[in-house]
Amino acid sequence: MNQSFATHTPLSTKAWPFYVLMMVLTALLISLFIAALCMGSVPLSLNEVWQSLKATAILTSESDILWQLRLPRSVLAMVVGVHFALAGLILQAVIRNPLADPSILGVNGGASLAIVLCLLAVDYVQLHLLKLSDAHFDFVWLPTIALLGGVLATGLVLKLSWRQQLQPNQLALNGVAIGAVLNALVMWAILAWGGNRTETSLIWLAGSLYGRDFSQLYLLLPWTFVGVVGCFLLLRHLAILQLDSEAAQTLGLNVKRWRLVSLFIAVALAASATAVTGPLGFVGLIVPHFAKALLARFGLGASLPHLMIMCILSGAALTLAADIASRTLISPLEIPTGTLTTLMGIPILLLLIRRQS
Amino acid sequence: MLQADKVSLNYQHKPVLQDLSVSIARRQITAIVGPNGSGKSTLLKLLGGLSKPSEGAVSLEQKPLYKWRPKALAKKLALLGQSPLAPSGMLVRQLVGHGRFPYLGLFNTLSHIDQHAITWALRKTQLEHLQNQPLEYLSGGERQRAWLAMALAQQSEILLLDEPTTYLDLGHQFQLLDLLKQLQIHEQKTIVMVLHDINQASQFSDRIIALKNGEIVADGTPQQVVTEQIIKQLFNIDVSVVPQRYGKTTKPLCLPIDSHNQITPNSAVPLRSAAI
Ligand SMILES: Nc1ncnc2c1ncn2[C@@H]1O[C@H](COP(=O)(O)OP(=O)(O)OP(=O)(O)O)[C@@H](O)[C@H]1O
Ligand SMILES: [Mg+2]
Repeated sequence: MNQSFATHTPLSTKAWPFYVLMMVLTALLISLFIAALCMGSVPLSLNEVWQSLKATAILTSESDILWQLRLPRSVLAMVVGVHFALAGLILQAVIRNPLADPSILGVNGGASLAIVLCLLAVDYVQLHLLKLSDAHFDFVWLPTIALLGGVLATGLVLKLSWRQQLQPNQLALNGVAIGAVLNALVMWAILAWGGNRTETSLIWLAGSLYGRDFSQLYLLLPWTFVGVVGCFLLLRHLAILQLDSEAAQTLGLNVKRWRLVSLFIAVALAASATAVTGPLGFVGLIVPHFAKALLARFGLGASLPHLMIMCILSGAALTLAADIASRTLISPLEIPTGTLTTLMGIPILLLLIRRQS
Repeated sequence: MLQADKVSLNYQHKPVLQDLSVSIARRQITAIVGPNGSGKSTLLKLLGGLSKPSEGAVSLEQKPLYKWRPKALAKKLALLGQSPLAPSGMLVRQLVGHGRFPYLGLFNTLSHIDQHAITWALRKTQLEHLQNQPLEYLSGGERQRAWLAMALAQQSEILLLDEPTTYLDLGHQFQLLDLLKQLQIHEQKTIVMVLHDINQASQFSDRIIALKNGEIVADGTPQQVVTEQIIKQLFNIDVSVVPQRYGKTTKPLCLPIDSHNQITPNSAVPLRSAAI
């Protein structure tokens, strides 16, 4: 064979543009975090923030705001952003469709329906069966219920696609169908029986971080650990799953098994995050594209380890920025964070895609 | 060593392969030829363990394919499909690197040996200068070579290739077939490929299996298979078969007869090669 290219061209995987990019994003994230602690309906100076953080006991109203409100909320925003972004990254690889996001497996629909039904049922039981004058509900249970709902809905989607080897198209079609049915049921339940729970339900459905504290964060962190470690270990298999299933199989990958494992990790990430904040629109869809476009602009290939790091950083940053905006734009009122992730994310995405082509 | 024993395969009750037995000999180049829809790709996928036969069994080294661990099988046998798909943004070298997947555990990254294999595969397919390009920027032929490079990077003893020359220009077609010949001679590879060009099959393979309607019509050396009767039976065209010298060997060359002008091409000056 013609050996004219035999001169060995060294592989130029230039590492430094990636590290620069990573540093810049990290710096951005840290600045956002500091801003998140300072900004709000009661502005705090950097010094006040620092003093409150150092204090061991909550003495002042500043440290109260910081420890009870802003710190847990901001950390939660970042963690949830990471959850949705990684879930989106995994799903887009497994489903082999750039439009895949956590809602495609019915996670949102299942979680929403579980929450709404639960709120309504508790009200009904307390008001009509127990004849209590005022319905009381312990909100601590909501995340667990949402998680259950999300996992059940996804289980149904997987069950329906099982016979077809969890083929991407089947998954997407079944997921969209189940999701549509669930969302219709949610709306119907709210409209028909919402009563005084209509507002609570709608706020949860819009995706919000209002009133979240450390207890929710603790609930989430085990899943964060499972998700991030799982995702990291899964990267090589995900890369192969991105090829078509025949190619993946000839490379010695047990396609069905690894699809299932990947989907499990994605669902664990998405459902647990949805449980705590409600569906934060489009984070899972946008962030992986954002990460890819960013890497492409810096002349880097879309290698999954790089993408994963980019997704973690930009997912956290996007959600945190959206949450800051949601608290400050029309303070003291709030815009649901989910609304803002959508409003902020979509233009960024469109811009990047335009620039790229 | 790779053997299909009385295999049949149905797609939705429609028989595609019927009671078919082949035994692929070590270190040979075997070409599978036949009309569209005759079951060539289906047979290749069966041999590669991508699909299970409805009846019968395929075995490698006397062990049924389904009993092989997937990664162990992938080290023995690489299969390049007819039209594989990759996600956008994947670089050529990344794709070729995936060929090393069967050699990697959960925790290790590409070693020196792996990188060596990747570079070797890129060089053999003349893609070194394109290795850092995204696949979607490549031409059809370059992309096809990238996928071939992935299969080569697997460094398996057996290569199963489905129409590896389809998108290639004439020059690259011959370079690729020549490369396969070299791999057979110098690296003791066993190669099974689906080819549409009977003359290429004749020139480059040791054995030709002719399929029609899921059944083997002929199986043997090019001299035995490339005959006027068999070609007529396979493709329903009239050809004249003439001997053609390639270096030290003589292989049959088949040329279609133009039924309107009744010109039979002269063997010494072939006017047209039959691209069937
Ligand atoms: N997944 C499938 N489902 C149903 N029928 C199929 C499937 N794959 C192939 N077939 C049928 O099996 C027959 C053989 O197909 P195969 O792909 O093996 O043909 P081929 O000889 O490779 O043809 P070509 O030269 O066009 O590549 C065809 O009639 C085709 O319609
Ligand atoms: Mg075919």
